[in-house]
Amino acid sequence: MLDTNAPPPQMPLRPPSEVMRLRRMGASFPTRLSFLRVLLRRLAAENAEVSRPVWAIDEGGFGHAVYALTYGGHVYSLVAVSTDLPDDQRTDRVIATAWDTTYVLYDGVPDASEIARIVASAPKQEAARFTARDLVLSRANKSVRLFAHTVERLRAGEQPDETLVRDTGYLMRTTAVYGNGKFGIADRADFANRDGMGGSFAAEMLAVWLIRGFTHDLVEHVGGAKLAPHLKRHLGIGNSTGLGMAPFLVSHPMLLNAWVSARETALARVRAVEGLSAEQIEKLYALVIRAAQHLAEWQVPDAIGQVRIDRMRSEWPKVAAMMTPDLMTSHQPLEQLWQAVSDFSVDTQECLAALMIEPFGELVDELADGMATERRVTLDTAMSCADAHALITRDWSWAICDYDAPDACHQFWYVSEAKAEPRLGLRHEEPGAELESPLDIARQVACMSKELPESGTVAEFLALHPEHRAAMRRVQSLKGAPYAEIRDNLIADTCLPIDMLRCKLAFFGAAKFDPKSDRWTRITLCQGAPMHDELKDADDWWLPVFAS
Amino acid sequence: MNSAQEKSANEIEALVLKAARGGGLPLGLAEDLAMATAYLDLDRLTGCPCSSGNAAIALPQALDAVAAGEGPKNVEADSALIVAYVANAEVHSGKTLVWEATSNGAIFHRFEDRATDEHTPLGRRTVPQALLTHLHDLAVKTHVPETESSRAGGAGAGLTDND
Repeated sequence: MLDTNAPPPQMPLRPPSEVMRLRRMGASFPTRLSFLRVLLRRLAAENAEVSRPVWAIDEGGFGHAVYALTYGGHVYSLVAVSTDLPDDQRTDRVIATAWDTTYVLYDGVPDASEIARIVASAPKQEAARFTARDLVLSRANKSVRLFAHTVERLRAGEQPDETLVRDTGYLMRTTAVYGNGKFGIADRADFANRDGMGGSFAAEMLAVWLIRGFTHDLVEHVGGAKLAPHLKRHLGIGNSTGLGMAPFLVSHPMLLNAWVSARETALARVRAVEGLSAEQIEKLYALVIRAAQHLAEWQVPDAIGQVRIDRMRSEWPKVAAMMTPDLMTSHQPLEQLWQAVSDFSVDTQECLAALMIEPFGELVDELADGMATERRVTLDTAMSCADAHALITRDWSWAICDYDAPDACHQFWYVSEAKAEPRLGLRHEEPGAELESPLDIARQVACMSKELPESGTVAEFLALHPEHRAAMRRVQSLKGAPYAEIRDNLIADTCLPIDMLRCKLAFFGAAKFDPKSDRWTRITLCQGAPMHDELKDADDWWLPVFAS
Repeated sequence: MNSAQEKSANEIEALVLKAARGGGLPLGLAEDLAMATAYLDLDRLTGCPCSSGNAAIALPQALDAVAAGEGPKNVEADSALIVAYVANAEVHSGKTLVWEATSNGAIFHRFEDRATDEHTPLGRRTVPQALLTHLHDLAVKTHVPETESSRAGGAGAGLTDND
């Protein structure tokens, strides 16, 4: 008898020495396990309906609105506040103090006094305090050019220019989406056991998707006419992200391990698929064409970013050419294809990995359940120092180098006193290195290994060397969580923070990465995603393309 | 000045971690204190543990030793802190610590291989004003002072976004 609980067959997982390098993490693409995709599948399965009980927006587009939906047996509301922002105050940086629009995802249906409270406090963002009924706090600024252009066209009885819609892709950019207790909002633990809200960043993704709908409604309201549905669907919600996102991956190693393990297991399962049905082959062909169009439409001002996209554009037809009917109908076709792209760029490989996973929801979607974890780092003080040495030798060879060399400790991460904005400094040129944030994990472990004796217990060692406690915890935690650690030196001159940002954002479901520097990127979320009234056809939007 | 304020559990933990770092505790010990904060009754705390040379070193090291089979260990510490560290250690190890309170601390005897009574994180709560002010004062010691070049170049983005 078949054991129906047995996991599907899989190829060996890719080793962390390959997957957890910055360059490859920085080539991440969204997959069907990305959090927005997971959320929208759930909303669709429930047939969730969004209503708009309050619309108190004036002719200029200022005022407030409330959206509500029932999900997993609870009502959630988005309170959106739109205010008039002078151009000189419009910045995507954390140091901003005013925004075009601000938002709270609220637990339940806010009454008039709660709406009034949020309308007064949300525009202050970090300077205000929030309550346990507030689940997410966010803000978004207009893409000034596209918003103004769209209003102008709609008022003239026309639709916005298709090229501008395609190239910009959103009406507003969120510049922060705060969850998990920040500024007094609810702790994630307060609602994570609710049906549908337990996934990583589920509440934040719900807020983002609702905000996107508000940006559509707002531009139609000010323009006095409806957007064409195909343009509207292409208008996602932008996001501007800086260094603040990067430390999360370092300070949540067990979560990072859970996310990457799920994606890698999905890839290993589809590589093990014995044979493809005609329907699956058709789907894969359609996705290859879609990816080609996506690459053709993905244009960025950043020179390095564009070189990488150009290389993908040149390699992609070769990938497509390999997918002959002979190969697709042979034994383990996806494994053959996967092996065949090993000489291609890391970007092309990662795009193909995400593509191969896409048609196999039945095989991989349940892996999303394991992407949120309560597992925490561990410290086993009974371990012998000899065993700790063995772990360092086995797992941390990448971290051992001379950290006195200028290039190896070139930069330092820090938090500025200016609104606690995370920043990066050059150690040999700028002040503040003595206050650096502890993202130098590789250096910490290398320093510890020099002082770790060959005998005795970890407890004895840490009693004499409390300064190595954090490093020991990292070493022991990595033992059973292979994807927990970024296997690169994060203070080296070669570390580009955008690689960390892109990895995390791709897990959210972001695409169209548009780097503004090596530590700052814009992205698009929900582009091509179903709108508030389209949830019935929710799931086929991997890699957005413009449908003219 | 900060007035007494209701804070989320995550805010309290994050603030304690930062304050402990600002107070000079080694990172690993600051992490232990932050984790234990989930079970820490802030109203019963008689002194702030977020600086070096105090219970935030002695308590975890005593627990380390007992976990490594080197018990029993005697510690001097606030009873609220002891309860918090013990709860955190039991939750994360899945074991039960046999210990007794003393007039000024505790004796930790041994960990036994059985699941412990359930410890419930204290969650959202009010932080007393004096403690809150003290934690903030320590936490901002981890911040780097603002300079023109830091503001212009440190974040990797310009100062306005009107495109």
